[in-house]
Amino acid sequence: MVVAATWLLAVCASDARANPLDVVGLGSRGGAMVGALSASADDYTAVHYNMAALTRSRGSFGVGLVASLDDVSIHLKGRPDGYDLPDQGASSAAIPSKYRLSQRSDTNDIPNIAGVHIGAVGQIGIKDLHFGIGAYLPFQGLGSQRTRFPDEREQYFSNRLDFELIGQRSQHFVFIVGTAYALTDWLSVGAGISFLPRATAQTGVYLDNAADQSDVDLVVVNEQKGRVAPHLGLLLTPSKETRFSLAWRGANYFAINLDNNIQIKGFETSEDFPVLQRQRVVTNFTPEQAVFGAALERSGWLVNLDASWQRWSDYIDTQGFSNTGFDDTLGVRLGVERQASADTAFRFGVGFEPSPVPEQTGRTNYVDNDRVIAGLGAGHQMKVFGSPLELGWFLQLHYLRPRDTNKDAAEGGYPVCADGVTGLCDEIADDTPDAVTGQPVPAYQGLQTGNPGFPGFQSWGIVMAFGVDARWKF
Amino acid sequence: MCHPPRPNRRLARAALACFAVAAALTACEPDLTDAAFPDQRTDAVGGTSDLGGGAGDSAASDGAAGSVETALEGTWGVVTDMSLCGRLILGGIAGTPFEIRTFVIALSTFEQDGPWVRESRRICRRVSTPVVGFETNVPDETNELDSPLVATGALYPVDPDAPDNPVPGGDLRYKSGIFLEVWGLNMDDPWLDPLPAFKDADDERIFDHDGDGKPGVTLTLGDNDCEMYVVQRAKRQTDVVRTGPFTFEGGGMLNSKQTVVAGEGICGQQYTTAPNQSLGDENGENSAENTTRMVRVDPGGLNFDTNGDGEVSCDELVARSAEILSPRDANNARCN
Repeated sequence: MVVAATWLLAVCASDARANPLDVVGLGSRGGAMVGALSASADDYTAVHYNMAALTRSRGSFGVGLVASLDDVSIHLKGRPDGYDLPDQGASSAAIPSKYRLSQRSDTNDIPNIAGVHIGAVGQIGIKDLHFGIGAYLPFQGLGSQRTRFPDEREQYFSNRLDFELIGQRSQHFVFIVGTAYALTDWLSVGAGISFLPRATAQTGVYLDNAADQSDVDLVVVNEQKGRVAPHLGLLLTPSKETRFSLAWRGANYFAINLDNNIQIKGFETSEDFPVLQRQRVVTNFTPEQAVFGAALERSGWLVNLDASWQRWSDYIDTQGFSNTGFDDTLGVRLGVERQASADTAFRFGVGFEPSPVPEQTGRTNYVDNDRVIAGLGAGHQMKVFGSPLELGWFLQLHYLRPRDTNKDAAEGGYPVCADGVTGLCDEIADDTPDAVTGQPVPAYQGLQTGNPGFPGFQSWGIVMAFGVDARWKF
Repeated sequence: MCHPPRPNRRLARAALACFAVAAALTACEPDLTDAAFPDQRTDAVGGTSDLGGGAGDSAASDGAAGSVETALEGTWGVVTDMSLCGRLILGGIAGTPFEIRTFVIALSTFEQDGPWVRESRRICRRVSTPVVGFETNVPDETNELDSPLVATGALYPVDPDAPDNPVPGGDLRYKSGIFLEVWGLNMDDPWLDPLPAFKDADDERIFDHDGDGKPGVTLTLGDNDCEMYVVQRAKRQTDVVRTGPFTFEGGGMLNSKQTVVAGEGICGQQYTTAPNQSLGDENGENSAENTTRMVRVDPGGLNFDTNGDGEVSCDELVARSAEILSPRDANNARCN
């Protein structure tokens, strides 16, 4: 008890970060049962679903592959005439719309998942004390980060919209390690950590000729660090047929802090010397979440129901902006396993994950959909060195419920785009004078916006995930 | 021999069927709904309005055009868009040359004595294209420093065979005298004496022209990013032909050199402009890139007298200057 309590305290005191396996899950069993395993994980996958469930496995090792395909779409509605940023020649108040580097376009693809997962559970000398480890490594590399603006500023970059919470967010490696202790026959506790990298970069820039910015002197200090996040778990087994669980995972994200210290010759006497640019990039955000689970096991059937609360209200977008207006969500997942024979088990599951993203009728274009999830799979056992080896597979379908978004037309004019403005905004104020005449410009009257999400968009689609694995219990 | 499927196989087949149906359903695109944004109409400002016929029209056949003696009666709006090549010199190293377009709006009146014309020109507004992202702001008060500018030129019938007509057609050609603008300097010979050297604020010829306590004339760069104190000599000449009853069109010459004698921050670095190579020598050949339009703006002409006081002010002219001429974009390639 003392040892377990010490672990709990030590882990609780650590920094809060977590992992991004929530989209597909970990392992073929979890994939088929759409992740409804918090009370029923029985191998290394417990490090993700519920650390306390490590006590259900004396020893196991597993390795598997997972991949995904998608047919998703973000369709941008046609722009009415007269809202582009006008070309007023040399005196244009903003870069005219016709000079965009990328044309406004639909999105018909997201980065696919493809990777390998591996894990193990074991004991080291102490009865009822179990150790587990799990990792997911994407084939594309250890991580992929891409930032974007959720509003009109994205017109100068990709000039399109992207799904906020699927796709790119899942493209990074995961490493989780933890322990569990069976306090009694009916109560187990677990604690662990997940790992995600972070980086800080400081650049010093000396600019000798402000007229020739292609020639700069640059030094870089780059530090790669890792941060850990707690996983805590509780497993109650009041009878052989029933189990209850509670798992908690801290929020996590990949962060890059960029500081540029710029010295420009000629500005040395200025109060602003040196110029300091600061930027914070945040990707792969996974919210704090708590999962309550209940499992019933009878006559060869296992039914596991998970309810997952996720604190999306803390969401931080890729530009480091945290006041996104996202809602906390409560999702449910039901997993069923049928032991069809001594060596074959069929599994399936269904789940619903509501979107935390509110209606995007204003300035921002966070794109996300409610997801209905269905899973299917099986496991086939054989004996290897006298211990069971299961070969498993799964298919998982994420149905993105179609969502239709129209920007709100404002009565009485639109606010000028600025920090803190949340409504659809005007990129050129109506009273912006002509640089030559000083007079109001007719072309600047009304709403001028290059917001790629204007006047509206639709999103829908499916994501199909599939995988195989081998799990050896010993 | 065919056996009925076992329950477990039925379960698997049913699940697979559900997957197939779900996948088929989700391939459907949702119905499109319309956003509540009708087309928006604005009347864009840009280009020039047709103020009396194109360059190919003959004004001589229009009785309203007036004779040589009365051709320049009244008050005229003179708008010029001139080209200069410049270099930003930092630390003694010349940067990439760039084009500066100087857009000037002025009010002029004329006194005619036979073919000779004495023009009094009052500068109303100057606008320069941004240089490396910074726009040079010339305060309107600076325009009063040397207004009115006076120069004597000539008005004479167009020679259709002349090789240097600024535009084809027209009936009368007006070639102004050379307007000399000198900022911040008392020179024995303002036409020929050399300008002070870079950062030579101690040159005894320099004086506080705009009365702000700083040498020369104070210009600001960008959004008040820094101040630079400059002296300048500019020579301008207008060369236009009459293309309509109240309109002259053509080009002109601008030769200007500006030297920063002091400044704050990056403005303390030297910033000079040299004659546009396409302009030729200082006596001025028309550059194909230079444009001038003159329009009679008093009530006897196109009447820019918005407030009806019988006179056209600078504010009234500037407000409607786009009807005469709008500035063009700079093109740095011209200066390579």
